[in-house]
Amino acid sequence: MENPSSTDRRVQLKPLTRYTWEQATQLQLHDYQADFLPSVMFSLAQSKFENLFPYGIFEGDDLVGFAMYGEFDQVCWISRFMLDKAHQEKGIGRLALLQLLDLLRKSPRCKEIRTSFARQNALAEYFFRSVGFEPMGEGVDREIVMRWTKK
Amino acid sequence: MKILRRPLLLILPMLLFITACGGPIESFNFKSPDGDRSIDVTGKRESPAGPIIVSVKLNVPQGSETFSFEHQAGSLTKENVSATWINNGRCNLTFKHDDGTSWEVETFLLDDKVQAIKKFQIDGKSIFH
Repeated sequence: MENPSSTDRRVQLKPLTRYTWEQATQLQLHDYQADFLPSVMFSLAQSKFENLFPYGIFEGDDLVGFAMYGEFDQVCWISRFMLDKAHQEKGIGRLALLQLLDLLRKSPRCKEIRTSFARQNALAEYFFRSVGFEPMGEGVDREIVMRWTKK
Repeated sequence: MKILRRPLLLILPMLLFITACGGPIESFNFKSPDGDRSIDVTGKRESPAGPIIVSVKLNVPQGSETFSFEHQAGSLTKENVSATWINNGRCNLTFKHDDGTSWEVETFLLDDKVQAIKKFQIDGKSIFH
């Protein structure tokens, strides 16, 4: 696996705090992407009641993306991953995802890493496949479920 | 002979109808080892020659989640449906089809995650496309 920290130190994944969560709610997707993900506001509310951990994706000091994972019976799920539309297609997402995978694979609570996304979100499948995820099945809401296979 | 023929004329269409409807459809309730969570499996045919539409209801103390899918078999019985509890919050369901393939349904019945992942299997190996 690539070493995400040495590839580009400017991109960092950090837990959201009382000082950064409001900025995260201002992140925007392209119109065609908006239906694929719930809003950051919804995700933050969800994290209050479920075992979910929200992170900010930073480029330098700027918060440019949002990621969230959950731990459920030793299966860790990347349940949200998004970059603001102004910061997409620059390789930031890939670096941030590699950092997140690095974090999860080192966690004793993550025996397996999975993600799921809307079936129509072909870009997400390409993105997750590029770092080692393989499709494993279909979720209740007909979303595609993928498992990370490079542990 | 006339007396015998009439009941036969009635029985034959009934037999044909029953045959067309396929085999039996049973309902199941699979309880977790601690008895706090359960899974209800029911089925129905929407048309006589159509597949069985299986409904799976995941019950946790706080609520439930239901989903449905097509079961490509003539019946829904303990011969082709089974449940294996991994622990109190995880259970794998298997629905065997008549052609040897199957649906493997991995379920999570946790306080903060109730979900199912349906995997198509051929010869016990998951296939996804």
